[in-house]
Order: sequence, then C-alpha cells, then structure tokens
Amino acid sequence: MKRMLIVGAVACLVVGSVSTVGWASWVGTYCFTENASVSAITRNTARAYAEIAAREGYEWGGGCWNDNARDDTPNAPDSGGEGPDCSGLVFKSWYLKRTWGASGFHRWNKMQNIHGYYASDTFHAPTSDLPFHKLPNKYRSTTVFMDAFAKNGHVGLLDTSAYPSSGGDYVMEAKGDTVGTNIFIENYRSDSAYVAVRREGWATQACTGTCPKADVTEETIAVP
Amino acid sequence: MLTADLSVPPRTWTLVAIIPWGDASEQLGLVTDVHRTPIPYVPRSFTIAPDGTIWILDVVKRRLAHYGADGTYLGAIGGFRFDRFSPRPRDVVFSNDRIYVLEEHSVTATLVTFGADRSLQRTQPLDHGRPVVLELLYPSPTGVAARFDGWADEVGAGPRGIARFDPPGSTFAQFLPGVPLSTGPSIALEASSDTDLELTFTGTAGVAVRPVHLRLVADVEGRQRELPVVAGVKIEAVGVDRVAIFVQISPAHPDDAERFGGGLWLLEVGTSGPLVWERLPEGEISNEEQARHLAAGPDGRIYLMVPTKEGERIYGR
Repeated sequence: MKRMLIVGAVACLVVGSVSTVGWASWVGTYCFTENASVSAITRNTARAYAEIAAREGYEWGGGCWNDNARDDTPNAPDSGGEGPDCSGLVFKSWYLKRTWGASGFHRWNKMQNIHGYYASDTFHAPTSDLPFHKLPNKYRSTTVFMDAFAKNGHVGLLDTSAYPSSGGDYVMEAKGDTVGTNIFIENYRSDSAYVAVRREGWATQACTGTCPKADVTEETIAVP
Repeated sequence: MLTADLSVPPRTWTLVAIIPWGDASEQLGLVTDVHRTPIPYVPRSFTIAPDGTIWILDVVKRRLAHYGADGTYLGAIGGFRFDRFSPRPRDVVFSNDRIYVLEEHSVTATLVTFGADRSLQRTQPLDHGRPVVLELLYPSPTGVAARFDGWADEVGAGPRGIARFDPPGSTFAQFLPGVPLSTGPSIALEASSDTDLELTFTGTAGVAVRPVHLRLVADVEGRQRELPVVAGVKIEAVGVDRVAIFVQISPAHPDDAERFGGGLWLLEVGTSGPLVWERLPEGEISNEEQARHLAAGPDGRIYLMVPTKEGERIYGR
C-alpha cells in the first residue's frame, strides 16, 4: 500500500513517499515516512504509543508496524519485516529525535521504518549528552511507568507502576521474533545486568481541579 | 535478617542430569540468535513427577519433554504453540498425580491438562468472569493452585495472592491463605518493600507472621561492605512441610551492580526443620525467560534447573 501525504499546517511535518528497499520486503511495500517535531509528551502518551505495538511483530534493527494485531512477517528475521526491535521500540515510544543526543520530542508514525541511533547498550550506559540517564537506583519508589530497564543486549519499558507480587514488573518490550512485542511479566529489576533508565523532559499530565505534582498520573490500563 | 554475601561461592549441588541442546528428539531446544531474540529462548519450567522422572517445558520445540531420573530421554507430549498469536507455555506442575501446564498470552492465563490419549485440553480460569494473570502453579489438595496477580484485562488491577482453581476452568478463584502444604498448613510470601518480606504461616494452631529483611554485602579490599539492594522473591517448590523460595538479588545502585554483580539464593522455610539460606549455582546462559528454577521431588529433595552452554543442568540437594 503506497501513500502520499499532503503537507499540513504543522511545523516540520515531513512529506514522504514510500520508503523503498532493494527487495519486495514488507517494510518496502507498506511503510512510509511521516514524522514531526512536537512539544513534550506525557508518559501516558508514550505508553499509548508503545501499546499499539503490542501483538505486532519483531524485526532486528526495526522498525515499522501497523495495528492489526497479527504477525505480518512471521519467523522471517532480517527480511525487512514488520515490527521494532527492543531499542527501536524505546526510541519511537520515547519520541526521541534522530540526531544523536538531541533533546526535545519527535513523533514518528508507527508506519515509518526507523530505529534511531540508540542501541540497548546505549540505553544501558547513557552518556551525559543524551536525553536519558541512568536512575540512581532501581527501587520501586524511584521508578515510574515508562522508565526503562536496560542491559547490554536488551531494553524494555516499565508499563505500569503496579506490579505482580513476586517482585517482578509488567514490561512493554519487543522481545523476539517468536513472542513478538507485548507486555510481559519480567524480573529485570532484581537482575544485576539491568539498570533503570529515565527519559528526560516529560510533560506533566494536563488536568483540571486537583492536579498531581508531576507527570506520574497513571490510569489503569485496559488490555484489549 | 538474611544476608546475601557476594563473596561466598554457591553451594555445591549434586548434578542429576545434563540434557544437551540440539535438534535431536532427546535434546532440548535453545535459541540464542540475537537477530531472532534479545533474550535466549530456554526451557521455561520443569517439574518432578511422583515417580521421580523429570518433565521439562521445552518451549522452542513446542513440547513437554520427559526424562528419567538420570536424564534418559523417555518421550514427549507435543501440541503446544510458541508464537505471538497463541498462548505459550510458562509453567508445569504435578498436582494430585495430574500434570498441569500454565500458558500465557498477553498476560492472560490458560490451564492445560491432558487426556488419556495425551491430547491437550485447554481451559481458561476466570475470576468473577474476568481473565486472570497467573505466574506459577503449585500442587493443591484438589485442583491446582497458582500465584494470582490480578485481572488480565486490566493490568495491575485486581486481587493478589494464592488461588485455587478446581476445576481448572473455574470462573471464580478460590483464594487460599498461602501455598498449601500436603500436611495441611500453608505458607504465604509477600514483599512489603524492595528488601522486606513477610512469611505467613497458617495452620490449625493459628497464623504466624515472620518478617524477613534482606541485606546484601560484598568484600571490598578485605572488608565487608553493605550495598543497597533490590530483591525479587517467589515461592517455587513445595515440599511436604516446606517451601523453597527463589530469591534474585541485585545491588540497587548501577555502579555497585556493575562492580559486584548480583546473585541467586535459595530460602527454604517450613513448619518444621531449620531455615536454609544459601547461594545458588548459575549458568552462562541468561535465564530471564525461565519462569521456574526450583522444583520439589516426591522424596522431599529440591531440584534446580540451570541453563548452561553444554546443556540444561538438573541439580538436586
């Protein structure tokens, strides 16, 4: 499916044609370029974006995904298939910019095939010039949903500050070609290979009436 | 107070069996290709049958593999799925001489039992009609018990605790005071903070609560230094009058974690006998996908499953 986008009134909207690759890959056939700089987003917005990827595919170095809750390219690694990899999911869900170290927020259409500059190793050991940093500890009182747990080789997003009773967490992650991208119960918090990482610059939740101090208002997540 | 000392090596367990990885039927499935998965796909669980044989949840090969007490291959039950659109196996346990397999799909639990012809019979346990999140299974005097972590259609919401499903397709979870022991009492485990646990013993004599505080120490230039810590704890194995708790410990601060690492410990408690607190051996293959590490044998022996480069190691003590 090819699409051409009309330039809108939003600043920095990029008009794009279908991204092409040298073979008839799923990405080459269906994905397109659409992205824009935006104001800071809330953690809830990031989570809503990430959860669209639930039940979609996994592609190392990806990616691009639709919202049909099916694997459009099953068991086909390295083939320009559907889905993000773990660090690509975090890059897009955190609305990171494509420029190394750039602050600010950038919205990437889920159908734009982009991974970003940051691999899991970068999330695990961020330098001070990056728009995310390691948290001082992994206590539950410290982490907030849409923080990440990262190790050399993998990264996933804390989906909710609620947690199963065993000390685990509900983690939104791109977990592999077979199990795909979804919410899983994980024990990364108590695994010494993982650190907790926080994206910088979150917007506070808009509200009326009595408002919370920070952007940590959390709604219960209904799983479709 | 229990102290995890990183300078103390793991206790030596008795090696019961090594089951190699590979494509042959007697071998177990393993996927480590980082283009396929950032986390190795390893067997997720195992259980020791009343006859002492070993059943291993071989998810890569979509089966429940059966081995003798010495690791000799005996066969397998197939019919499981391992893809993102189907419930995939998470845990296996024997309860009342019957095998139960727990499957999960988008955190929603499904229970699998087996017909006389080894056909898979799937039922979905519910609580007040809602799908549920179950983490691990436990034997129960009737039906099967499980670690219940709320409703699957509203992640993070709902009751928590140990629940029994009898029959497996029950529409209401029957909450228990804890993991049931075959002798009658039950033991419950709750984490009240990153380092504090509460063990609740419920029996005919009443209820007793035992708080446990975990601390982590490391050797720094010949002196013992305490490190801020986070711990994950799960009751995994259920013996006659005891439970074996799997404890994963990490320094809370990233610099400490990088310098000292963390470790795995066994906490064994019961209605009688001494408390056991010892460090567990680990393998070279990261085991994030493994849901169960400890299982109890019919003789009360505790078994440990560890993925290593040479194969899946089954230890006993």
